[in-house]
Amino acid sequence: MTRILPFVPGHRLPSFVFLVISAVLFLASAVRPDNMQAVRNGVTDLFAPVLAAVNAPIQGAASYVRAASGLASLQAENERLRIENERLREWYQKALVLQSENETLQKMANMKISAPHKYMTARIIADSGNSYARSVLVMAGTADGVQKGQAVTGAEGLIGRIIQAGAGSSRVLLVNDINARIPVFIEGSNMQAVAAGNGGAQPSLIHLPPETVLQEGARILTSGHGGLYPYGIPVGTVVRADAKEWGVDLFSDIDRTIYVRVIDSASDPNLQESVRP
Amino acid sequence: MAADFSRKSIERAARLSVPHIMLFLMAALSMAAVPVPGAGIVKPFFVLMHVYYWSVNRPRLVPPALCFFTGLAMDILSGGALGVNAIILVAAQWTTQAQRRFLTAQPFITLWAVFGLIALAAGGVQWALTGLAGMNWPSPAPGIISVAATFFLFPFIALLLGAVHHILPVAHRKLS
Repeated sequence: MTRILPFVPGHRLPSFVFLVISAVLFLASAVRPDNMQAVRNGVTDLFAPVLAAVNAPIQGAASYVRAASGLASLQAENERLRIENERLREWYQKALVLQSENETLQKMANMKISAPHKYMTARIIADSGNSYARSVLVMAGTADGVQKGQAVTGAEGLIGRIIQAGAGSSRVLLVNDINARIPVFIEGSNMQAVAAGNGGAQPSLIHLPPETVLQEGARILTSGHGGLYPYGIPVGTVVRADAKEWGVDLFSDIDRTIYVRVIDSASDPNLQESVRP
Repeated sequence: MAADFSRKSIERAARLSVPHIMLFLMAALSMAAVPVPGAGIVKPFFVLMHVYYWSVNRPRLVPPALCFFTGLAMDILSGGALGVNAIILVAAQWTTQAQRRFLTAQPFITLWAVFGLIALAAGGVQWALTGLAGMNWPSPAPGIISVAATFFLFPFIALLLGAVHHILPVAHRKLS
């Protein structure tokens, strides 16, 4: 039989063909990342229950080990929580007074108040399986009200946003992925910046005016600019990355997170008004 | 040809399915979200270990088509650019099978060292293609840690796969 490709031995032809197909798929995917989104959603939905089943005992075992190793420090932890509880009770009383005062002032100023966010809670069932891509798969999809673009928080603060929503599962691009960009402002100074993921634990603060000096420990919140993230979600605190750069110490402990909350931003009256015909 | 449903043939099919079930579990394991610090960055190439081991010992268990579709499924489930894992697995299978005559005659330590080189190449390809897809090359440090984890975990996984190898029916052909 005449060889189709003279430089590839006959018995290696299938490997060569699949390598070429893989390369073509890669190029097509790199040029148009949104290509074949329906196929991605379908395959992800198909495998989601299996991934959830494999992941559940691993998460269970990790939680058990963490709980068992925490027994030794239980007394110290109990004391720390008792002190924190006392402090939070004081804060609760102050917060009630401030809330009432704030509502009165807002009514006097006839301010349009954003409705509180609605949340959907979902369990993480898998991550990207790639050291360089920081994303997770959650067990909630369009059938549960999840939509592409919605912000996702952990227990303490922002952890990412939905970039792919299938019927029963969705993918969350984490804030520390190299492609994540979050418009933020720094509390106190009201300085605007962008928190840019770098694959590490602390995203960088970019697009700050030159020679900006920030206060370490200042809170960083989403600014809502661009409409991707709602206004005011806690992201982290300012840290100095090096002599010239600033970074974000995230509130959320992404590596230990098992459950996330997807924010239903459609409940924002300002957003509803802007999309109304 | 009439289908053979004898006890012996069913047992043979069941034994041959074990490596495929393990491949599936290893793919799922490599995507498991383990809630411990650093687990999101250190991602050993479990499927690569599987492909390498069987490419040396029973090549017919990991044909190019299986490597391609496993890699493609992992690419789709990872949410990243398509083809990255497919290229890595097909190329690893091709390279290993091309050197099979040499590798089968070597002691485990040599097989382990060669696997280290393949894992390093896989890490390099993953870094280069992930960067190329987004035109933004990340620090290679997480990948280097993952390659090191892959290298040091290989003897344990090889031990497990060796146990599976013992329960497989005897190969009838030279390359099966």
